[in-house]
Amino acid sequence: MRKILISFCLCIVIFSGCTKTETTLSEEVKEPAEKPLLIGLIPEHNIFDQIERYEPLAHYISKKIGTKIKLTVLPRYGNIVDNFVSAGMDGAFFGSCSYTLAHAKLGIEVLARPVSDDGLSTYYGLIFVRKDSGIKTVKDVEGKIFVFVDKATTAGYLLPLAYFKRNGIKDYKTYLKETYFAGTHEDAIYDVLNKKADIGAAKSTVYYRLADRDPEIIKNLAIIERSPDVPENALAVRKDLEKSIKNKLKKALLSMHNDPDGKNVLKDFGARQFLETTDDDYANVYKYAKEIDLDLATYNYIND
Amino acid sequence: MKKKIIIGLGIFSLLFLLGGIYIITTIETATSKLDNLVKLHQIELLREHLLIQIKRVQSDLHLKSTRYARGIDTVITHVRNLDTMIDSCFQCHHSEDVLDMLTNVRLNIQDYKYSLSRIFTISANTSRLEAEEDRAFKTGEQLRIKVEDMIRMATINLEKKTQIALKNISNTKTILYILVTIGPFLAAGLGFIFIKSLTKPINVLLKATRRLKSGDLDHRINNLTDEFGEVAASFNKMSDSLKYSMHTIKESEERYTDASKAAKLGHWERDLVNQREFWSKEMYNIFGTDPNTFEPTFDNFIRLIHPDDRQSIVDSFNHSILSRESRSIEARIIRPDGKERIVESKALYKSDGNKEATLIVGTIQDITERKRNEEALLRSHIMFTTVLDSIDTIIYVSDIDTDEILYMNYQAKDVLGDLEGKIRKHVFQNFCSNDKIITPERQPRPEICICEFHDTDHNRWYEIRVRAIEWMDGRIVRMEIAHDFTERKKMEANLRRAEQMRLVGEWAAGLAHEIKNSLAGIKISVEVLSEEQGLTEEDRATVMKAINEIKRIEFLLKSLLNFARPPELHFTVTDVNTVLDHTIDFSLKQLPATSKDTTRITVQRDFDKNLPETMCDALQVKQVFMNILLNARDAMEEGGTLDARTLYIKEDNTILVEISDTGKGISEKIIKKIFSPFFTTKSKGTGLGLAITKRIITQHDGTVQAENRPGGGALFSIVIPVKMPPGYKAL
Repeated sequence: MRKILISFCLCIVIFSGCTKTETTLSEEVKEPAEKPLLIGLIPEHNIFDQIERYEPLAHYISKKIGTKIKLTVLPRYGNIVDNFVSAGMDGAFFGSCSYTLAHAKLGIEVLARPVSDDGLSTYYGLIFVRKDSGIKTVKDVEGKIFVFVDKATTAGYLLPLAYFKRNGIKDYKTYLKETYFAGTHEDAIYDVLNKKADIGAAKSTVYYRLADRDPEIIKNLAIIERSPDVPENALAVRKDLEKSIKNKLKKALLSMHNDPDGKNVLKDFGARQFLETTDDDYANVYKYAKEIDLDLATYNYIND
Repeated sequence: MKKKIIIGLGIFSLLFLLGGIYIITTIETATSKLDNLVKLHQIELLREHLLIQIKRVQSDLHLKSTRYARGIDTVITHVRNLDTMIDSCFQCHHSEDVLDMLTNVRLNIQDYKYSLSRIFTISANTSRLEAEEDRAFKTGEQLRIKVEDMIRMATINLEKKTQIALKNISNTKTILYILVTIGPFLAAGLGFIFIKSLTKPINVLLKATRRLKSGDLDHRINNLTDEFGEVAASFNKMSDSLKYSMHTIKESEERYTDASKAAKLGHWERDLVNQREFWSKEMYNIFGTDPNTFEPTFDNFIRLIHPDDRQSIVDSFNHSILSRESRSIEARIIRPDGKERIVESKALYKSDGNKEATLIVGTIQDITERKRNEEALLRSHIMFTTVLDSIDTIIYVSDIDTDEILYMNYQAKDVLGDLEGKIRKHVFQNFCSNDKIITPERQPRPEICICEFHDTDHNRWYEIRVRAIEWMDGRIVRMEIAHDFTERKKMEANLRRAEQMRLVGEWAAGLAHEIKNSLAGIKISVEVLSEEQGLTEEDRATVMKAINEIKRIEFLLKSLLNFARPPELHFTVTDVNTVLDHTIDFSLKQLPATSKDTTRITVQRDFDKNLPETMCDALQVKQVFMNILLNARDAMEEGGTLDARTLYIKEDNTILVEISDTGKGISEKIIKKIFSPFFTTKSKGTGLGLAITKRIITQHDGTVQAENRPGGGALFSIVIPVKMPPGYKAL
């Protein structure tokens, strides 16, 4: 009898001891503290979207070359030339104009630029108005508000300058009621669409990228002028960057379309692949600058 | 009972299961409620963070154009934090209202972001710039107010929920306390009742078992139910059968005791491991020892064994232990009262597994009477066979129907061969057929069938007596007794011949007497005639020849008369040595019948000087010696050695006389006939010499024998008993 009781009690003890919790230790893997490559971005879109667009690319490249990449956004196109040295940047995605400026002033070296899904590695500048603005010719522009992007952009400033020059307008500031720099191509387009300005200039890639998302753009805007083709925003690095890193960066970018991960990143970025780029590719920009009598070495790219 | 146990265990398990389930679910509910609360508080915290972040961005906006302006990267980080936070809000589950509100906030944030980006990138105149900045600020303020509202609302909700949850938890706690407090008592109470219901009948059973153990076979268990009832019934049955078995055992024990007493069979056991001994009561009776004082150890046992048998007992015990064979030993024992008995010991060796013997069990049986009976039986058997086998008569028994020989005595086997167990019909004869010895009712006839049987092959005569007797197994068998009376038959023939010879002798003597008288007249007449002067020399020679022939007839007649009508013996005390000595001298001086040279015969005398004198007829004995000596002389025509020897044989009180020669010996063909009358090898012999010799010796109660010596020549041995007249004393 006693035995039965004992075994019964034992059973209870054993069953109650079955709720054992397991603990696991998680360890954080620390990456070597190495000075990251600082890459600058120009405000093509609004600054938050811009950084979000480039982050996956930067992450992928850093993984490939084994060096951390930190992105920094600049609120002005021209800032990139000024801040390149002071902020200690190792490279940046330059617009065609800002590249030529930085190349002239700092001797930066261009590596690669993206090829869009359409197979284009270039863009062009556009001048557009609202269809309901009644602006047809340059005469209609007089006394209107013109929105530029930045003095250091081909599409957002050099094109309007060339437009005014071709049409014999010597001082656009007096010819027009008001001009201002929206800072981003996106803002320039939307300012015209939202009637904050009567006429605007922006680059074709941003224009059509936004037009894909927002049908109002095609519906309400009309293009009245375009510039020659210039290279798409390219990655250029400071000339004293270690050659090995330079090569690694170049190799990673140029071969990423052969890698499944890279392909996905490219797809989200909106490109087919990266194309090797040299200073010679910018001949159009130099030529364009010359046409409008712009000396890149002395050009004041700070917005008025 | 099994049902009870199952039900009890079932109730216990159910109670524990229910309690467990209840506790687990309450704890689960409480923790999930607490979890929810914690989550709500976290959300609260997140919202607060959102608010703080908005305020931070707003402050960034305020400071933008001042010298405290933060870097664009910092502002971007702050704004992006806003994004992250609002995105994290969408990760939780929300009601439709809250979701709408959150979506609204997110749109506001997007708007705010757009405005912010604008004021950071735009380069325009002051009014445009300010307008942009105002717009951005306003958007930020709206956002702030919206979030603040949201927080307020959520806080109220949260408080309510917190209170409800805490109340629930405290209720749960109370119930748990109650359960934890009452549970063990309830379990203990139930357990006690359950155990009690188990132990009570077990105690009853235990008590009963103890009583049974103490020998109370009459105790019975009542008033138990379930399986315990069955156990009780079995127990009662067991008690009954135990009682019956005890009774049976007691009875059989008594029977065993009686039987072993009657058989004088004792039983013993020897535990080799624990060195313990056991003797049954009869063992003590057999050994004549007192069970109260005698200790049955092996040493004590050995002491009771006859000293001559002790070693063999010990040896055989040791051998049996080693070989593990059971064997029977006979030994003599000497009881304490000095009586000697014979016992038979049998032992069986038991062992655990295949190791050494661990236990010996055995019996001791007093077989003294049996042994004595056996010995008596054996003695009588030996006596019987000795007598029967010593008779020179054939006795055998055969089956009356099958003719199987059932028994033969030694004589029968000797003559007929061992036929026991074999089938033989008409061993001797078929005269005494079955109908002569049994009645038609197959009963033995009282009269005995007797017949004679002549075995012509062996020239033996048997008198056969046949009768039917009842055999050991009850059947009627034929017993034949065949007595060999050949010798008697021969004796009778001899007697008849002797009688004839006597008659012939008497007749011949009468005739010889008549012839002798006539011959005396003829002889005188012829002698007268020979002395006639006128006779020619030739006639005279013829007459002389006739006289010689008449002399020869006279001698023959004299011998015949002598043989046929022997002279009466005159016994005088005689020295045989002297008689022999004189006879040798005389016989050798006699002219030999044929030989011309007698000097070549050498005589060797070997006389016993202690030869006693005896009563005999000296003349007749001389005649005997003369006959033998003359034969010896005749046998040695070419000369030789004659040995004469006398010897007194004290044991038989006889005188032995041996006369041997080195002559040609006696032919084996005739050696048996030489003592017969008228048997002679000599051309002019009468054939009566040795016959007379034999008769004279026979008249002296002696014997005479003739044989050939191994080296050649004949040997005659004469034995005559020494006889003395009453009162005669040797000088």
